[in-house]
Amino acid sequence: MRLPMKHGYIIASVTTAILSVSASTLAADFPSEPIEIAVHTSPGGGTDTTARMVALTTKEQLDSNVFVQNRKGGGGSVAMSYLSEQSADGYTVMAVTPTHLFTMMRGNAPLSIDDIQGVARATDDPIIVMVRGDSDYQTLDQLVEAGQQGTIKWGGTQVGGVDHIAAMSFADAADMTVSYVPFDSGAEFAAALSRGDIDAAGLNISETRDQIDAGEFRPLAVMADERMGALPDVPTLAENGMDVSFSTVRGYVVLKDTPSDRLKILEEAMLDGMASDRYQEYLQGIGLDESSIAGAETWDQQLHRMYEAGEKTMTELDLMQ
Amino acid sequence: MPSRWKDLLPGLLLLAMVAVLFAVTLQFDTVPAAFAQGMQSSAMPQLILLLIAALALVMIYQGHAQGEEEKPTMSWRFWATSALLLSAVFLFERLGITLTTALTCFAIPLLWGERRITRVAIYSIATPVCIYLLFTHVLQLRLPQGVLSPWLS
Amino acid sequence: MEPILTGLSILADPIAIAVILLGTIIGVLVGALPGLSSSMAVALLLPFTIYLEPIPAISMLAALYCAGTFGGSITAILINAPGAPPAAATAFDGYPMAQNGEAGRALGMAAVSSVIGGILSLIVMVLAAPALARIAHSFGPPEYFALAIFGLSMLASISGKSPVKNLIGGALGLLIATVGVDLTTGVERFTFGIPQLYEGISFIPILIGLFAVAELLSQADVVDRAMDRITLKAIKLPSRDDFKKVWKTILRSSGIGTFIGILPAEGSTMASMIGYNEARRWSRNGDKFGTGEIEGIAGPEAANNAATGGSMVPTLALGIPGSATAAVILGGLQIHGIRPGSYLFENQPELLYSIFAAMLVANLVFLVFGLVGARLFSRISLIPRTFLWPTVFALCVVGAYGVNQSLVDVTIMLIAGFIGFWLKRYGFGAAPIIMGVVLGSLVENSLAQSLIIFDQDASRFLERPIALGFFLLAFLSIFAKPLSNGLKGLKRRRAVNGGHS
Repeated sequence: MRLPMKHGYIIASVTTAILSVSASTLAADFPSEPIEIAVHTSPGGGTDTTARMVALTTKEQLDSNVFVQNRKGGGGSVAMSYLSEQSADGYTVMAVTPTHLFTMMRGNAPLSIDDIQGVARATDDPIIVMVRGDSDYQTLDQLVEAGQQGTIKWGGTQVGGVDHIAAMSFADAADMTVSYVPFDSGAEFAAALSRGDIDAAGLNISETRDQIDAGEFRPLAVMADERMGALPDVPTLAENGMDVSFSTVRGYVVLKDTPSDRLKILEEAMLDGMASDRYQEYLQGIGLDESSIAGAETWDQQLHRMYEAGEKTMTELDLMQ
Repeated sequence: MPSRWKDLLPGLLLLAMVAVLFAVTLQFDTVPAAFAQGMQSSAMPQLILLLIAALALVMIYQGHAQGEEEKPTMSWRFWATSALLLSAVFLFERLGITLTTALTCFAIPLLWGERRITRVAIYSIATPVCIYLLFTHVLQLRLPQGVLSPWLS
Repeated sequence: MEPILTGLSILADPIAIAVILLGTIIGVLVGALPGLSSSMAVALLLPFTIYLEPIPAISMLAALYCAGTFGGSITAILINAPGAPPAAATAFDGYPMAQNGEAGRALGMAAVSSVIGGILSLIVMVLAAPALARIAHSFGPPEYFALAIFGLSMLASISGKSPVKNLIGGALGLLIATVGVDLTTGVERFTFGIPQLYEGISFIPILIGLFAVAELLSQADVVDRAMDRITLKAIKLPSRDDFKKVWKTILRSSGIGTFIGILPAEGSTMASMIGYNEARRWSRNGDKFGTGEIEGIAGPEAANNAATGGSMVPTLALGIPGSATAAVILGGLQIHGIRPGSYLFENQPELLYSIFAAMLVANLVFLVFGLVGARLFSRISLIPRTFLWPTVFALCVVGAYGVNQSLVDVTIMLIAGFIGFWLKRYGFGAAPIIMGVVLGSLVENSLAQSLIIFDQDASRFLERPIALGFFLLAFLSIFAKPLSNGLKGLKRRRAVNGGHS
């Protein structure tokens, strides 16, 4: 299989663009070149694997190849500067996670939230307030009360990342004191929680579905607007009067100026690809369901909302530099 | 340099490095005490740097009154090879990996005294081409090709 | 017993056997290319496994992983360029052996000790995987901190060079590991505004630089050896006497590897370093290590392959990868709709045993491959250096680039090469630096995590028995020799006094 590199085609496409400006915007000839998905991590992680699954299933919907290129560094800023240097022709798609949003907020990215346009969302994994199955905290109120009187040791990933901002937003809204213990991965603090090293953690269902089913972990609340299909009995933080909604999301964006007909083609191809059995099986494997998938409109709105909420928390917590 | 101080040069270089990097750690951002939770980000690097400084002093002291041991010679070939590798760093971006490795594969054998020039020429073309075919077409790993990128995918 | 048999029945499936063989061969070849690590090979192959059934697919990746770990030692021995981080320790004595014209003996020993280590650990896994998973689960930040301290306690003695220089090398390694965003504060350290350093310096470019590029620079001044003299000797395999000499080392390292491997950290690299260090500590020729001692190959090789099997335990049972490659295999599980976690053992035990069966096959295949190939590969050490080293350089560049597909990593590799050359010239070895890099973030992060968990009260480390055990081992590792020397001195004095009375 031959996967030509982009640069060659950029030169080619610039030439064609000069020859026939009007023709190049016609939907009929899009995509005529391979489409790149730029990913900000090394091969093998969750974001990379998801992108490769999406590339594989989207490719089947299009005549063109779709490939993943890893552009690691700077909490997504390497991938973002790459995207910003490309022309808004829909041939460069970028995988976006909350990490990108926080990098933008800190002003470390050459792109702002208004420079990108959501195409589709591939996974949506709300953060769940979780304690051990044999914990004294039977309800969210009990946890909050304990946190108001003492300190709750809370596990999450790197300080400054989505887990941290989510935990701090929750602590802020509930007026609790949280001592944040950062770990390398979700599986690590899930293990720490089950050992009892920490009191609570913000975990995703994808990491804990089996433990919840077995009663080893007890979900107290979901950081989302609506209850999760998989956990219909677990209330949301919104129901408890806290406007805290954070999710481990992965989706895809293009530059804002991309012609709308091309955006439409990309969105449809991605959504059709994600509807395939293969992608559905993958979602199931990571503990999610089809509610993860969303089109351009929903995804773009979610990006903006998360950006605003994150910005608010970061300003309040004095994390902006 | 007094020859009776063994390891004086590496010791002083290490101390200089420690001084520079320690100054850098003072420029690290500090986080609100509520997040630092006992350890600021500069704590561990500073501890390690101070440890290196202390060990470097011990090393210099141990080398006191000992002659520098015999070191392998460093001929012009070493310096030329070093210069070649350093210039390669700047060429990778421009010329791309395949073309630059072709150049190093041509230059290094000649520099090291190889005189069969046809052989070197064939070798310097064949090696990068094989690597290119293996990585780009078998392993699907795109290499940056610089000026050659319109032709090599 | 039943799940074991169901798992082993994979060996009767021709498709599964075919893909396992394919995985093994790709693994050896990929592992043998400097810089092209098995983790990258697994990542690149991942999308293709989707066309297979889950169990053959995962078995293929596991076989590739096993074989890649072995393959990494081939280049470590022949050209001082470890193909994978766990093979770094093999280069310490393997490359000097190849230079002495004993490449075949070194390669043969690497193959045999790898296979013995691999198979012994797989037997332990099959018998006791669930129990081992519980041990892995009981390791929290305090236990990791103690383990890291134990690792650091070996720094002073890890190479025959001056202890102070070893410690300086170790500290430099720790310093390299602090580059990037700090986990516990989110602050950028030593990034100098380069976004590619934000996630830290990758291990592979450092490894390739310190070993292969530094050696290339030394080779610039080497006068061509007389080739004909060593031609015949180079392809000779290890003798029976060699095996008599190393069997204890192999057994010890297999034990170390099996245990360290089940701990979810950079297990195999640490295991091979500890295996090397213990081989040195117990050997009669300890001071000759680093000059081409055959026990210095058996030690790390048995350990790192034993750890490869072990690292599948935390990966499957906890979802915490035991190594970079295991992390990618984790992705492979998810592609096939398999959720790792403690319930995987209960719900799908046969999967685990199929993986072990595949690894067993991989071990047997690369034993044959390794022994037959040893004669073939050892001829690489006979290629004139004017052609060998430029090729190594070209492969190193691509290898360093490939990990993160970043040219910054190529620059890091070259800088590491120059620094490595100068350090070697002044008597600093690569071993402590590698050890420091491996343990660096583990030490700092596990300490910070432990202190938060313990409410900043360090004395609560004493409440954790496993941590206490490792602290004790660290203490023994530093002070056992001086203490035993002191005791001997005391006994002698007593004997002398006794004689008088």
